[in-house]
Amino acid sequence: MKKESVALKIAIIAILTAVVTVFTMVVRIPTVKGYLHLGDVAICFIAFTLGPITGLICGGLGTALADLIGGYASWAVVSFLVHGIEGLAIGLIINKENVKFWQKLVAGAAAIVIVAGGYYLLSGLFLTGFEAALAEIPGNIGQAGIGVVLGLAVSEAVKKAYPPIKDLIW
Amino acid sequence: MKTNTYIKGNSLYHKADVRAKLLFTLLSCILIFLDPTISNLYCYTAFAVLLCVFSVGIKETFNNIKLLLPIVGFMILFLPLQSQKGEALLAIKDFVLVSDHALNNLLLVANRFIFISLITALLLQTSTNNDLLLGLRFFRLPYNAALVISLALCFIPSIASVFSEIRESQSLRLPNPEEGEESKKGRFKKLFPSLTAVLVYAIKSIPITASGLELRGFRGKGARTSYNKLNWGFSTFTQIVISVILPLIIFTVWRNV
Repeated sequence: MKKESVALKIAIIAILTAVVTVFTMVVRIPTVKGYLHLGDVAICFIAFTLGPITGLICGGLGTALADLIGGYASWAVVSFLVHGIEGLAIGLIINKENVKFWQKLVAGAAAIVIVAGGYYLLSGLFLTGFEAALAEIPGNIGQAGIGVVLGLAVSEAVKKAYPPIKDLIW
Repeated sequence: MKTNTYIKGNSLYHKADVRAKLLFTLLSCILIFLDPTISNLYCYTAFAVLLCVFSVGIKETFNNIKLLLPIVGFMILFLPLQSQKGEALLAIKDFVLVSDHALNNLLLVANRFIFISLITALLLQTSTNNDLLLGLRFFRLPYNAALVISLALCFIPSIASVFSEIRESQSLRLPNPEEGEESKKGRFKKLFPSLTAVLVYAIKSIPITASGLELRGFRGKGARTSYNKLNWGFSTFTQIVISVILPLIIFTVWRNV
């Protein structure tokens, strides 16, 4: 199959969007304030492995779909923007074959800042007010941090388990 | 796993055209930010609750509100943080717990949040995924974007089911499946092989799906002929006009009362 095939691009985005939605909805680990989900793991995996554009679209669309299906429709736009930008930023920082440790650190820090800061800013401005949005920051930092660490590990494992994945990068 | 929020029903809102509902939802969510009066926001919220009750019933309305309660709870919990401005309504010695300014702000933000959540939930609960996509296509959502969303919605249940199968088979590989580590670290560690296996499964299905699309004639150049279309007639036109005029009338009237 040609790398430039539009059908292939559509299939990549659709299936990986579904993966982000499933990771966000299926695995929920309860915490004191709510729950942690693995959506960020999928987003980081996609951005690390398949680059910034796929990370942007699948990250934004997947989490927005999870919010719409899960009954949190008012958060869908916020999630779309925050997780889309998260995928784009990680993909732009780590978009090479041999990634150095400091690049991983920068990508991790960027993901944490974007998720925690983005939710604080957007939900503070448009939904819950800044005081209530403050309470979400620790959970979002933890979730994004775990997402980056697991996402990197899973990315390495998948590349070893299925080497043809390199053909899907565009 | 639940993959859509549609609730079958026969209400007026169910019967309304999805394009009118999309416009109404969007316009209402914009107008709610332009009206900062608390009494008006009470009216908007009450209107959204009533619309919910008459469209999807009391039980579903309660479920929708129940999802919002923890967030509203947090808003109340953080009330003292913004209570340093305004006249004190409740204080312990010198520390102001609730001021009129903070209470006013809380009611404003909470009402706005409840309204937006209910009105968007109502749109999704009274329209099928297919209708929503057709409605978005009417408003010039690109064909390829609609195809991506439609394919993703088809893949969500199958990937979710593969995920649970893989997790079950992974747990059977432990010496005693009943004795699992209970710590969060342990749970994440146990998840790792399952996550990898699901991702490999999903990625392996990409070339097959792409071939399937090409075999069905998809070349990515322009939209394909669709037999599944929304009707257009006088009734739809009227509904769309009403969906634009109604929020504007409510907004103007309540602002001037």
